[in-house]
Amino acid sequence: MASGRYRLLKQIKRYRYIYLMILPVLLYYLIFHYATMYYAVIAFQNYKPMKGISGSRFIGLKHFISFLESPYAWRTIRNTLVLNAYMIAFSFTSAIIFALMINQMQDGKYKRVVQTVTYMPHFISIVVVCGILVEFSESNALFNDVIALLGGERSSLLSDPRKFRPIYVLSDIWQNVGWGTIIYLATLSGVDQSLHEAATIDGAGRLQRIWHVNIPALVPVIVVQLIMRFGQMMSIGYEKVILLYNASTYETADVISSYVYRRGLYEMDYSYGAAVGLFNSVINLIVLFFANTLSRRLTENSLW
Amino acid sequence: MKHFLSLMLCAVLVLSMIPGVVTAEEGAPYVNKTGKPVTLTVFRAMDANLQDYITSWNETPYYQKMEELTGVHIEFVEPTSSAARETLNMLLISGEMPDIIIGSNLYGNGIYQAYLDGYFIDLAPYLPEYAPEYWSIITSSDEYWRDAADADGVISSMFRVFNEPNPAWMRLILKKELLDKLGVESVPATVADWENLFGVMSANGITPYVLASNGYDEKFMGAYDVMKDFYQVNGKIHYGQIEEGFRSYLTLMHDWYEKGYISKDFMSISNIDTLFAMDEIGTYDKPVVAAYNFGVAEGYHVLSTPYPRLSADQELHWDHYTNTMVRRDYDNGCIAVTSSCKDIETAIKWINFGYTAPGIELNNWGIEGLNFEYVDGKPQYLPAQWDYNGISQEGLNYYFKGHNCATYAYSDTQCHANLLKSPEAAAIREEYGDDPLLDHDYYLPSVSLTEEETEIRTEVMTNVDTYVNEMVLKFIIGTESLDNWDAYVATVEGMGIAKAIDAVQAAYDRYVSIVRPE
Repeated sequence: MASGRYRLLKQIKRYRYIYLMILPVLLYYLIFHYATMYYAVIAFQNYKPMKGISGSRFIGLKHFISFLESPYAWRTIRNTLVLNAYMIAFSFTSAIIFALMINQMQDGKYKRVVQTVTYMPHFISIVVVCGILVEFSESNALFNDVIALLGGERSSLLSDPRKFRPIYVLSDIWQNVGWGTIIYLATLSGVDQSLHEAATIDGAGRLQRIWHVNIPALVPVIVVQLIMRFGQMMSIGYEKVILLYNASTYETADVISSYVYRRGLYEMDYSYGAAVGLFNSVINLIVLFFANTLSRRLTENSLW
Repeated sequence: MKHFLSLMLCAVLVLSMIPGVVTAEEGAPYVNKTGKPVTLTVFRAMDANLQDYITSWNETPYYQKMEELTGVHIEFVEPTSSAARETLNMLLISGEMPDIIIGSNLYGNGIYQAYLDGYFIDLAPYLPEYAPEYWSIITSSDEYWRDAADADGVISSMFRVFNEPNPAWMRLILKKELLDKLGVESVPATVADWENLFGVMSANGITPYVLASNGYDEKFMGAYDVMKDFYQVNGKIHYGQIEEGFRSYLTLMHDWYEKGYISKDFMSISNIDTLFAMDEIGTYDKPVVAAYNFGVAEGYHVLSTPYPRLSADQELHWDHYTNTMVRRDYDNGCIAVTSSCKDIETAIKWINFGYTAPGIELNNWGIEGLNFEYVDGKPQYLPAQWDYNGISQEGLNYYFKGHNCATYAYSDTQCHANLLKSPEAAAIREEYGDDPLLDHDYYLPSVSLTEEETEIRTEVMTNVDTYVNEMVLKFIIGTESLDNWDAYVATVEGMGIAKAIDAVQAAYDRYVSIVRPE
């Protein structure tokens, strides 16, 4: 034990600059993710900021019960899960397919242009993107012009609950597909060329090489990415939901985080918001745990 | 030469100090008479019409004059108006509160609740001494006192008080040229008239009507004898959205939506003014004088309309524009002092300045010689009030004077620059204002709920509001059939609306029994 500790100290001394570099990240997590856990206690209180945590009344699980009994509990949970399932099914996979496609292209100007053009939208602020989407979705605007051209009927797209998820997911693909390819392209460029040569000699065509060489090489990265995606599942994208939804699309659009935002910040019901937020995290933990276990069973790749 | 210059400099400095000394002796500032600089911190959201021209309220002649007259320097906390509510809430939670909050009604659960939560102080004990002018106004009648004070005699904010009723400023507007083109001779008076007009507009390729984005139009609701949220009929509290009249209103709106009379984009539309100017839409609810003046500049004639009725002789009871002289509904006209204010005396005296003679002049008219002058003892605006440094007209109202601020206010017909621009502009504001069959009997005054009542109301209404607002839009656009109205009412009742109505009823009963102090 003593020698172990001694060795650690010695290591820290030797690599002190590397340890110094990791310090800000460590502090970030300690301050913003661990220290704040203490304040989750307001979820069990009737919290009044002026009275502080010690002065506010303790009410136990009342907020949790009233959330679960409210008509919005199931709807927001369902919407959160469904929207994320859509995102994983379409947005997450589109980046993988797109990366495989780019990888097949000859190096050159055209490839670089395609990559740059598809990266660009990622850097536009979500507020701007949603502003554009809202404008384009009006009944006399661009999207409807296209729909009308194809023989469809003009309507206000963002006031129809059935169209909210497609708009959300398609615009996300447009915005993030290029950016999402980066990590896969890096992996693909590391694939041993001799594998491709061997496959070609064995008579494998282009599609067969993608299927038997490229995809197996990507699987570990995909699994890690997928598990991390599950980890963010309950919190991701709520800004976009808030910017795009309105009361007539709550049916499909209202997710747990947007509900927390309305109750907690807009109506200043801090305790209730904190309770639902905490509930959200618990669900997320369960989802993450399942995803990890499932992945370990099926592919032998997992986070832990 | 060098000596000469520095001597000159000294002389200039000395000279420049003399007038200052003289002012201090002659007429000391109204608030800070110490001669030493005093600073207060004030929260006030930057006005949307001004934010493109200035970065701080202290750049306006209005606040510069105010500083000169009161002797108090102000440091502003000034978020953009769209972020005002969130910023105020954050400030309050963080505990770093400014001394004074302008826009105290932005607090989520209401002004009185902010006092109960410990953010605002009770001004009542200080007012007789530090704010005699305001105190004498609000104690002048039982009506004034009821609206200025909370149930237990607490005064959690000071308000904009009018000297006479301010006529309605929002109307459904129409364009004369368009009516002429369509061959329509008179503006509609009844709901049936409106429907006919919409039919004609629709047949001519015009989208007749842009409903408010939340689906509520108080004017058409008024024709069905309901108001939004809580209101009272003969002292009994009602919740509008479950009343039978509201069902009729929704039926009408759904019918109009189906016929294409209501814009398909009413929930998200952002450029209504332009579309109206281009004859693409027929009507919408709009500040009538601003629309009229805009029309004059663009070369068309805007018409005001009377409130819609089911029949020409129907009595309407919903008019909330004239219900009280003490207004709690102007964001700039509600001022509170926070519990972290160290110098309560100066803070209250500074607010009370708005109710003294020079403060009333500054707030209602502005700065003599700069934007107005006295002609035969009566104030009249100078051209600067409408055209100054390229600032928008609406912005100039806030630039030179305390537009909609907490003061003893003259009605808009007396001193609003937009109305005084031309006799026609003033006339259109007053048109239909003398409606003999119109009153505000149903209006629910701002009652103060106790902490417990607030808790009940919040618990019930957050669920109800989300549900109802969603259903209203669904009923209108037809994703939910009005056949399900009974189920909808049952759901709202199941959410405990009766408890919330009881809480408001209790607060209202206390309100009517308030007696002003002697």
